[in-house]
Amino acid sequence: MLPGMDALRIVGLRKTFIRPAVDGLDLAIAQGEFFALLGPNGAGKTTTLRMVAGLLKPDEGSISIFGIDALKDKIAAKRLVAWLPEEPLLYELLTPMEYLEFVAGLWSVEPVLARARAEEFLGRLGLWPHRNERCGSFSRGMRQKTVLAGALIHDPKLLILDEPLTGLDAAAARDVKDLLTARVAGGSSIILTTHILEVAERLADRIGIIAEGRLKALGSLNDLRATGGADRERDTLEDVFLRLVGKQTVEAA
Amino acid sequence: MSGVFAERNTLALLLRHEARLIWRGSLFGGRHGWALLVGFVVLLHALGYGVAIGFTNVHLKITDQVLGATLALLFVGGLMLAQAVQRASELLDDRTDLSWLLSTPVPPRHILAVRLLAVAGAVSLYWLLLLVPLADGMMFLGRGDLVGVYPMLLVLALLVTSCGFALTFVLLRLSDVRRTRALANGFATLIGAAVFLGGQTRSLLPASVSDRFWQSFAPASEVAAHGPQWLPARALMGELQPMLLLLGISMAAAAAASWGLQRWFAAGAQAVVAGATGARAGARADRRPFRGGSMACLVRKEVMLLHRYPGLAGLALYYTIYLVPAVVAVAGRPHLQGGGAPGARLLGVAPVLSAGELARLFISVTMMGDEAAELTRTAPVTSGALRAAKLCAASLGVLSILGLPVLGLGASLPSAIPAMMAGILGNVGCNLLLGLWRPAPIRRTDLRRDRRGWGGLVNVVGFMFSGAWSIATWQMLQGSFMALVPAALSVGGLWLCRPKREEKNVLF
Repeated sequence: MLPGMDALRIVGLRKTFIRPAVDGLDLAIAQGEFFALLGPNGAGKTTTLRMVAGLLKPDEGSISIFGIDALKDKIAAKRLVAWLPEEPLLYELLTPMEYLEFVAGLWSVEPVLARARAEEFLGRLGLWPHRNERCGSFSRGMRQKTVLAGALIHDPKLLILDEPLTGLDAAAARDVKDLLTARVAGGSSIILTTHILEVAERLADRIGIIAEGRLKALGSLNDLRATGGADRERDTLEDVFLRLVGKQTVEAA
Repeated sequence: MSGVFAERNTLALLLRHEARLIWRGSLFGGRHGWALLVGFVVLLHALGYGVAIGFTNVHLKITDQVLGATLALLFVGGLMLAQAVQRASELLDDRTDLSWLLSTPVPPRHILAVRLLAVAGAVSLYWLLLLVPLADGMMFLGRGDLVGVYPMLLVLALLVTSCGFALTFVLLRLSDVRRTRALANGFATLIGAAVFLGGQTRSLLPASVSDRFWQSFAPASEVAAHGPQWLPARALMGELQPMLLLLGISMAAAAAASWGLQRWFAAGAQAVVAGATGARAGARADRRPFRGGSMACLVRKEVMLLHRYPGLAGLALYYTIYLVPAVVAVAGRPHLQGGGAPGARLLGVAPVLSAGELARLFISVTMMGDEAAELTRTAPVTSGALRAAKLCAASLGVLSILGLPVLGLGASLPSAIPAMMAGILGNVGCNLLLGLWRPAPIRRTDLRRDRRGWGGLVNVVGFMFSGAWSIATWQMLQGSFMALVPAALSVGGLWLCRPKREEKNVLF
């Protein structure tokens, strides 16, 4: 991993199901950057993230993670990445401790370190009292927090988060946001999709707006405001978003 | 207004909804389902007619007929009851649409009644497939009195399902969801085992002792055969009044169960939704240090999920219980213990059959029970390691159950070891790969995850593999090269079941 190297570089990415879901996407995310990928439903956000996480094979294009070709050397690329899907992937028959032990084992984290991290994350996320209960009885928010702890346990350099705040109450959402901000401050990169534009506005260094599989705009919030002209300096991200992707699409979303 | 929205009677609406789900989840739910069903029924009836011809010259005294009919009803009813109890306890796992349905204005008794009828249909299905073609064949050959088979199957299904639901909800009232499920599964297994072993008395006891035992229950005379205890038998033999009486009783029992249990049902569903399932403390991981190794942790996870899968112990016992009569028969009859004797061959074949069935069950559970398959796909492990872990866990499951019995058999019948081991390895291999490529749905909810769309057909195919390897083992124990034919057919069949290129992307 060289200083200055992009955490994620996507070039000419294409994926077609019935119609093109991602259509020639180019994107680069720097080390230590918090990047938000926004767009209406069906814009291609999740498909893009699933291709980066190694769950979908692109039809065309390349993905490189810290200089590693993620399509050729999948295992090496996956070592650096954690993926948090919108629907928490959890084993209902395992306890959070057992789940974290399993995830740490998959990424070959040294057991003593893994245990210390598990205790730290469960404590920070308020799950410590529930550490020995099976996840089947957990609420949506508790599941999401358990999965987030799993995503962080191997200290990923690139975090891919698909709607990470869905279903969380205000306090839990704050915990998660604090944890993510601390990760970025520690040098990790984050790519996040969300429909809560306020989250992107507050947390993201740069924002990409995608529609119909193509990147419509890219830059900091100020850069995006500037696309509307000089009188748009006070626009919120929502105003910018609606201007770029169209009100109707958002309502459909 | 379209037909879908015109329905006002919620009971009828739910019944239609349940029937549609069952139909679409079945083997016949595909594009040419009706044609397939007609072909299947015609085939079964041809087989039933062939078997019925063999019974045309059997003439029994009326007292023997009544006894035989009663025993048949007890046998079928007992096995149905075991299945009904198990399925009723499975309702407690069915969290998604149950909680949603209970949030609608539909009365809980309607939901319960429809679930009860669905379970009644499910528990009578195998017997319908088995007995109706035979009864139809017999009726075609002049035994019109066997028309009683139809209503008696309905009577049995409704009665045992009502009992199964009552038992499950009484248990739920007395304990929690987890214990209810465990107790219900244990009870179902015990009933099933008792009924099965009862039906095997001719294997367990000398024929004369067995016959004398059963004859002691027969009515003393034709007049005595009209006693109230023989009412179900007479209904089965086509007498109208007992038939109508029993139909009335069974319908009343089903209605009473739906009405009487509705509050307990709603309370039970709420307990499930509230998270009472599986919330047992698992403090061991808290006390001990974490263990590393990606492959080891994959296998550990699969074994842990297998071990904790609700009701798996009961299911596994079902798959192995039929080993008992074979073992007892040979152990109790020294003249059968020679290497080439039929008893020894039976003994060698039984673990082959069991091993294959268990292997398919375990691998299907590891596939269907994997709620976070995409998590492992994003981990830095190869897809080969993921498959190997599942195969390893399922093999360990088979070994843990059959290891000791097979070792014991090998010690008492050393000459059978090579054939038995070849049969077990072949059958386990075929069923593991089949389950890996085409996992069999274990529960109703699994049908939604079955993206490769084989549904219950996988079990039919897997059982054919087990049958083929059992025949191969039987032939090997006779020292015949004909053993290669069923073994090759099984391997060839497996080759046809392999995933297509585009399906491989979906698998891992």
